[in-house]
Amino acid sequence: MLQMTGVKKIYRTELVETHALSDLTLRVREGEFVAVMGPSGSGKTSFLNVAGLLDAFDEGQYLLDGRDVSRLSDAEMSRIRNEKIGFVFQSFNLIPDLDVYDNVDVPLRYRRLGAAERRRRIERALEQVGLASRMRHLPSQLSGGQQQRVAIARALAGEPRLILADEPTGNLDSLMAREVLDLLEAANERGTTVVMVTHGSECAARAHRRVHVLDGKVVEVEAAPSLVGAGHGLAQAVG
Amino acid sequence: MLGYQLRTAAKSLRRDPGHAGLVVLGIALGVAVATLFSAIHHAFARDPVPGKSGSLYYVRLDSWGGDKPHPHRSGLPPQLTFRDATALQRSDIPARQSAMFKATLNVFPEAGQPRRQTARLCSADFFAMFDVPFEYGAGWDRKADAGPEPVVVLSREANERFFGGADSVGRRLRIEEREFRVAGVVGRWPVSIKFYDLTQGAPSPEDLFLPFNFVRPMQIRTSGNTDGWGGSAAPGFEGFLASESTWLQMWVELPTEERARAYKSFLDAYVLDQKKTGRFPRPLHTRLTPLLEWMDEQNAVPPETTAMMAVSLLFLAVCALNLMGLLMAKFLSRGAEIGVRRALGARRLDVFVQHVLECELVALAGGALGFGLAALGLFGVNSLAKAIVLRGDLFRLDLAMAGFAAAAALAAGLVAGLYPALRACRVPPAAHLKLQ
Amino acid sequence: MEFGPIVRAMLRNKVRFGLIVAEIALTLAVVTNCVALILHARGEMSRPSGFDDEALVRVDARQLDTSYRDEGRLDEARRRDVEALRATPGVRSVMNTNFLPWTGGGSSTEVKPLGAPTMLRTQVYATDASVSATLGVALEAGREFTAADAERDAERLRALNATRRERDAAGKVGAADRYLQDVVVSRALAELAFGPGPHLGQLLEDSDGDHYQIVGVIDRFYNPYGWPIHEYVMFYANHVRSYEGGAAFLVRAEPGRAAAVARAIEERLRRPGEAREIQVRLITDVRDKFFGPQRLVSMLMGSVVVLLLAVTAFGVGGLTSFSVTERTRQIGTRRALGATTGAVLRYFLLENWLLTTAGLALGGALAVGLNVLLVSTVAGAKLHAGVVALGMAALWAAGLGAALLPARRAARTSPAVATRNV
Repeated sequence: MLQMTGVKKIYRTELVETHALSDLTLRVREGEFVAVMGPSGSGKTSFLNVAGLLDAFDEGQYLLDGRDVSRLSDAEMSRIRNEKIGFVFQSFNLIPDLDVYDNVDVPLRYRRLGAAERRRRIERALEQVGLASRMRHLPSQLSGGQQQRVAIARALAGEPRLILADEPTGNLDSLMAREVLDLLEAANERGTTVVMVTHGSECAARAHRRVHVLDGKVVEVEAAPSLVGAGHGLAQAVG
Repeated sequence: MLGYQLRTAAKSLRRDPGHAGLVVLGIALGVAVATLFSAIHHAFARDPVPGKSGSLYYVRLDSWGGDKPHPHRSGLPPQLTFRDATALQRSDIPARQSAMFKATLNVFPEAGQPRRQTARLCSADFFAMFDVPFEYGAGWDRKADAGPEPVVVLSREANERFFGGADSVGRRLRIEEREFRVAGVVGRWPVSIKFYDLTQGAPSPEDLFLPFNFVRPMQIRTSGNTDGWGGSAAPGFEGFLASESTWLQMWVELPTEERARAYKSFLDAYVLDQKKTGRFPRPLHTRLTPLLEWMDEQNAVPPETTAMMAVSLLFLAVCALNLMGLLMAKFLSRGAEIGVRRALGARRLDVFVQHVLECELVALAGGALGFGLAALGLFGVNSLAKAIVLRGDLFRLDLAMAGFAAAAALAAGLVAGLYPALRACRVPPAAHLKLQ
Repeated sequence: MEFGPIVRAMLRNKVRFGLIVAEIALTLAVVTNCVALILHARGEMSRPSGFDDEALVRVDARQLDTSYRDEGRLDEARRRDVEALRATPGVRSVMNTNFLPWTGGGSSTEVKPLGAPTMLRTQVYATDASVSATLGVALEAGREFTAADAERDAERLRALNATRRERDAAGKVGAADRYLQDVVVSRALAELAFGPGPHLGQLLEDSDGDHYQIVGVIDRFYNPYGWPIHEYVMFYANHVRSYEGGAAFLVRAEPGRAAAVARAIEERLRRPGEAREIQVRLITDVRDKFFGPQRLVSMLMGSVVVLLLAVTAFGVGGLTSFSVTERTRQIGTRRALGATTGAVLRYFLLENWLLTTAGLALGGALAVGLNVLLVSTVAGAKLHAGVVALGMAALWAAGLGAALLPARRAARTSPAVATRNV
C-alpha cells in the first residue's frame, strides 16, 4: 500500500537546514494498522505530511498503492489525496461554519460526485460513526469526541484505501479516545489501511505493528503480540 | 462545482459580515466616485446620434478675407455666410441637409403675456437627420421648406408653456407678426450638449423650430455669433444677407464614402467658381467634418471633465489597493481552513476560483451600492449645475453607466482579489493542520 | 538606530509593504494634481476685473411688441429708461451699452495701427456715457463720451449704413466714404498697438479701411473672452437698442446699495400698458454664474481629495494594524527579550515612516508624470513644487497618524504572548 525508500525531507531557512526526514524507509501492506511512534520532533509529522502528499520530499522514492508519487503535479496530488486518502487530525480540523453534513461533503464535492451519491455516502459514513442524528449540527455544538467522529466520517465517506491519522486521540479524554480508536479499528477491519501517528502507547496498542521513528529515521519495528499470528503483514526496516 | 464554490464564497462572507461590509463599502466608494465622474464625462462625450453620427458632416468653407487666416484653431471660419449656405443647399448630393441658426423671437400666445423664446431656423431634414424624437406630431415636410409654410415645432417646455402640455398639433401660435401652425412637439431628447450648434455655449435645444426660409420675409437676425469681414456693401437687412458675415451652421448627411467624396468635390468646385467673382480671396480650403470629430475640435467635452474622470479612476485604483490589504489579511487568516480543504483534495485552482469568486461577489455588491451612491451624488451635482445651465437633468445614469459601474466594480474586485487569491491557493496543505 | 533590521524585514514582505508604498505614491500623484487644478481655478476666479463689480447692475429691457420695430419708438423707450434709471435713488451712474462683464464673451473686432502689417483683435463695445464713471475704472488720459457724442455718432452711423459704400478689390471702402470714429481704449490695447505712447490722437484702422482715433485711455480693464484678448477693449459712442436685443444698460450703484437698486429698477422700468421684459442682474451674480463650472469642478475635485486622503489614511491604518496583529507573537518575543513599550512604538512608527517616505519619493515622480500627461492631453494646471511639498507634508502627517493607533496597540502587547501557544 505504502512504500517509502530512503525518503529525505529537509526544511531550509536562510540560516539552518533541518533534516526532518533523513533516509526514511518504511513499508505498509494493504490492510495493515500501523502506529508510528516517536518523541516530539522525531519526524512523525513530516512523515505524515509526506505520506499524505501534503508536502513534497527531497530525495528517495515513495510508492503509494503501487504508484510512484514522487514527481506528481499539485493537481494530481490533490486528486490522490481526495480519492485514496482519508485524514484524521489531532485537532479535528472541521470547518467551523459548515454543519456536520457539509463538512463530510467537502471531499465529495471536490471529487465532483453526483448529489444522490454524495448523499448516500454522507449518510452511511455518519451512521458508521453514530452521528446520523446530528447531521445539521455545527461543530461548535458537538463534544470533542463527536467532532473527531465527524472527522472520521469525513475520512470514511471518500471510501479511501488509506487513512492517515495524526494523534487522533490527542485532544480527547480516554472514553472518547476509545470510541475513536474503535472506529478506526472497524474501518481497518473493513479493509482500509490505517497509519496512525501517536506517542501514546495505549493507542499504539491497538495497532498490528508499531514503528518507532527518531531523528527522521525508522529505528525499530515491533509487532503487536496479539496479532502477529493473524498474519497481518510484516514490517521491514532498513537502517 | 462553480455553484458549490459560489455558495462557499457566500458562506465565507457571511462568517465575517463586518469585514465583508468594509470591503463592500470600499468598492462602493471607489465605484461611486468613478461612476459619478464618468457620467459627467459621458454626458458630454456620448454619441448624440447613435448609429449614424459617422454620416453627419459639418460644412466649412474658408470665405475669410484679409491678411491673416481666421482665428479659429482650424484657420477656417466655423460658420457660413448666408450666400454660401443658400447656394450649397441647392446640391442634391446629400441625403439630407440643413443650414440653420439660432434666433430670439417674440411669441404672442392667445392667452397670457407675450414671451421671448429661443428659436432655431432650419430645414425639414433637421428632425430626421438628428433623430429628433417627437411627443406629438412630427416635423414639417420639404414642401413646407420651399413655401415657406408657417409651421412650427415646439419643445416640450414651450408646449407646456403655451398649450399646457396638451397635444397642440394643428393649433395656432403667433410668432412676431405671423400665425404659425404647430406641426409637432419634441419629446424627451436626452442631449446634454447642443451638438448641432457648437459655436456657442447654451446646452439646451431651442424652444421653437421653424423653416429656414422665413429668414428673409421675417427679417430674422441671428442671436448667435456673427463673424465677418469687409463690411456690408448694401444697406439694411439685404446688405447683411449679402455680406461676408458668417453666422450659419450647415449640416449634411452623406450615407456613403462615395457621396462624401462627391460632396467634397462639389464644395471645392463651388469655391473655385466663386473665386471667379472675386470672393474667397484666401487659398482654396473646404472641410467636411464628421459629427464626433467636430465635437472634439470644438472641445464639446470640457477638458476638466476628462481630467476628473482620469482622477476618479485613480481613486478607484487606490480603493482597490486598500482592499487588497484587507483581503490578504482575511484570506491568510483562513490558512487552516484552506489547508483542510487542500488536504481533502481541493486543487489549487479550486481554492483560487473560490477566493476570486468571493472577491467578485463583494465587488458586485459594492458596485450596486456604488451605483446608488453615484445616483445620489449626481442628484447633488445636477442641482448645483442647475444654477449654471438652467437645467437639472444634465447628468444621468443610463444603461451604459450601469454597465460601467459593474465593470469598474468587477475590475476593482479582480485587482484587489487576484493577488490575495493567488496567495491563498499557495497555502500548503500541511501548513496549518497541526496547530489550530 | 534599527534601520537595517527594519528594512531587511520589509524586503522579506515586499507585497504587504509595497501596497502601502503604492497607495501613498498614487495618492500623492492624484492629490497634488487635483490641488493644482483647484488652485488654477481659484486663481482665475480671484482675478480682479478692475471694475467696481460689487456695485454694478446690468439691466436689459426688451419690447414684446412688434410696433417697436420702429427705430423712433425704440429710441423713445431707451431715453425714458435712461431717465428712469438715473432717477432711481442710490444710482451713481448709468450707461447704455452692450458691454456685460463676466460672461466669457462679448463682441470683438480686428484693428491695426494705420499702416501696420498685422491686425490686432480687441473687444469692442458701444456706450453713451462715461465708461470710467460707471465701471469705476480710472480715466488715464484724454476724454470720454457724453450723451451728445452718442447722439451725434449714432446719427452719423445710421446715415452711413443707409448708403451704399464703394469698395475696392480687398473689400476696403474708398477714401471718400471712409468713416472716422472716436474711441476710448484700455491702456493694454493702447500699449499693444503703440507701445509706451503717446496714445491720444493715434489712429487705428479696421479691415473695411475705416479709422478710429483714440480720444481716451482707461485702466484697468479685464474681461475674460473666448480669445486671449481679455485686457483689450475699444469703446465707441453709440446707442444700444434693437427690436431683437432690446436696450441694455450698466448701472453703478452707491456702495452697498446694488441689491436695493436692482429691486427698485424692476419697479421703475415697468410701465403700464407696455409689454416688456425687464431683466435685472447683479454683476456679482453674473460673475458667480460665469465661474459656476469652475467652482463646481473645484468643489468636486476638493471632495475627491478629501475622500482620497481619508481612504488612504484608513488603508494605511488597516494595513499597519494587520501587520501588527500578524506579528503579535514576534512583538511579544521582543518584549520578552527586553524591548520597552517605547521601543516597540518606535519600531512601528519608524517602519511606517520609511514606507511613507518611499511612497512619497515614488509619488513625487508619479505626480510630475501625471501632470505632464494631463497638461499635454487634457486641460491641466502646471504643478508647482510648493503643492508637491505640501502634499508630501500632508501625507506624512496622515501616514504617521494612521500608524499611531496600531503602533500603540503593538506597544501594549504583553511579553507573555511569546510563550502562549496561539
